[in-house]
Amino acid sequence: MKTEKFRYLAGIVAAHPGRKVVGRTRLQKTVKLLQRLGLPTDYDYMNYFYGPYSAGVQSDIGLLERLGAISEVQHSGQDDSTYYVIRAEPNMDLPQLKPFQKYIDLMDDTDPVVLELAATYDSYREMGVDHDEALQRLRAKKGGKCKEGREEQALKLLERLGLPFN
Amino acid sequence: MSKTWPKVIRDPVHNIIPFENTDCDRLLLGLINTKEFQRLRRIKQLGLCEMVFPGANHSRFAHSIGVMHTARMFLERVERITGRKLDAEQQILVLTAALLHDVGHGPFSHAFEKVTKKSHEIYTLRIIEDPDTEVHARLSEVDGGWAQKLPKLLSTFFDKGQEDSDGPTSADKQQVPSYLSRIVSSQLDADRFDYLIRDSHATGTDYGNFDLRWLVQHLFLNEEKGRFYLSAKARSAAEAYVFARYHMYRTVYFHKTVRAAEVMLRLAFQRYKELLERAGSAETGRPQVPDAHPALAKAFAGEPTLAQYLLLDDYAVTEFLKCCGESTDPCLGQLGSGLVHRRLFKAVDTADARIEDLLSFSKLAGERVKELRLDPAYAFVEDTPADTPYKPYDPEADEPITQIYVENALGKQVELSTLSGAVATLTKNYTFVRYYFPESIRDEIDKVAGSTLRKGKS
Repeated sequence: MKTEKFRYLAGIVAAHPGRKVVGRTRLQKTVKLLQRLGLPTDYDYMNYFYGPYSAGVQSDIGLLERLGAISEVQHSGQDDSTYYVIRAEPNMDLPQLKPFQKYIDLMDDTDPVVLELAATYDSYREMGVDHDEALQRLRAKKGGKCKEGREEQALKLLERLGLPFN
Repeated sequence: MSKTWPKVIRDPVHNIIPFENTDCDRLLLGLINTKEFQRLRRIKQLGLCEMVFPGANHSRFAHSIGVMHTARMFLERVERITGRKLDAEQQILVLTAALLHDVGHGPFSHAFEKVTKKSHEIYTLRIIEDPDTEVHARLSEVDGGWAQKLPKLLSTFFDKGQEDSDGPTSADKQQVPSYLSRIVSSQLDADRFDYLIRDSHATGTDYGNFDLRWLVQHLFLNEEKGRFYLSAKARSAAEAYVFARYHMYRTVYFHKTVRAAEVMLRLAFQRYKELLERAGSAETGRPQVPDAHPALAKAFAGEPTLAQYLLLDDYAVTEFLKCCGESTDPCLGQLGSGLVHRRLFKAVDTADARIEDLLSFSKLAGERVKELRLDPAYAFVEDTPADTPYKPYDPEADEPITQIYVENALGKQVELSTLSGAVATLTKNYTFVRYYFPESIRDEIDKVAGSTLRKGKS
């Protein structure tokens, strides 16, 4: 049921240090990779400009906010840009997420661009594409984001998560 | 076609839509006469909204022509404010993109996208680029050396960066000035302008109305930034436009009964697909709905070819639903006949519930449905419509989208939600949960709602 799905989403936010996730992209990619690691939710992801994106996750964030389970606050960044901090209410812990806690911690400790690269590379592998082609597509899509060692860090993250990386 | 010019289409929203004897307008008329575009006559703009708003029978055909006409209003304004005549090629590009923007829509659009798992933009791109379509043939007949490039340039308007699209390259994109593509796709574009007014008119609701001509009259171009902005005099009109969208979603597109019909259609598609999968193939599964259009069975069983996809329209799906009513599968039968005869599911609205009560209701009601020997997947269904009426700049969104800029009292161009507190309230996702179920179990579900969602309420 969808109610269970968005309850998991609130639990994932609550499982982050400080019960908060900085950035919608970070949450999107974290849920995507957790699903690959066996999280029992079934958010549909499509590859858009910024890699795998689920309209369902974004919609459920709005829903959870309306239900008083989380809050999402907009902050101003540079050049007219905004970013969002998503924070869970104290009663949103979910014991079923315990097996995933180490993955959540690992991803939370990762640079957001590296996480974005890892989720995007992994989405190609999930489609059945081999390592070389996945890397080629990643570089074509992400360009400069793959530089300065970030591509290697993304593959390292995937290795540590136990997902395909070579 | 008659040899006299201009040709005129009478339209309930724009009144007269003229076509002159120019290369551009001859191409537009040629595209309107293609079989792929004519198919849009058979696809309703608002799908199942007519279950609640009986006048909402207008087609994507009329809307697409309206968008093309509105895009022409933008172009005429650009020429007035810049004092320059636009290139003929640029005019053709924008007007053709506006005309063709919905040509890839399937029957009952969004429900059908879940069957094909492809967005309508993907099919729009395919129709433009496939050498076997009449649309492609018309585009290839354009005079001058750019006929080869035209399909690719047009695809820049419809590319959303999807991984499975053979979309345009960044070099293609650089050939189209960004303000031109924003006429077809942005938060202040010809598509939204037309559909809000047209849908409002057809549904008989006034919520979607706003001052289109005032907005266009106060549109200016920031060439350096490649975007449009509105003068300060248009601030109220811009606010009314954003609110029009919000109210149309609230009262029409997300109407409880409209969504009931959409949920049932989605379930009918889901059930048919499940039966086909169980049977192993489209052919062996067809006996479940023997008279369904063969192209429909192909679409459900796997990826249809473009030619098969183009055979599908609202009529094919309506016939399919009639056939479902006769199906030997009781679930499909109930959904099919329910949609044909408007025996729609009932709903519990949980918009103001607390999460604990919602989870409790969902669990207990689901269990009750099972006790009644019904399958909750088809007899107790969650629906969460969602829309963001106005999106401020968000680098984390799925795709870049252009904001609305308005001059403030000092003449500075600022993003609308920073200028208007009213619009700022509409930058949040508007969403809620409803549960749908057959009328036969309404009393049972109401009892559960009374003990969970509505407990202690007077």
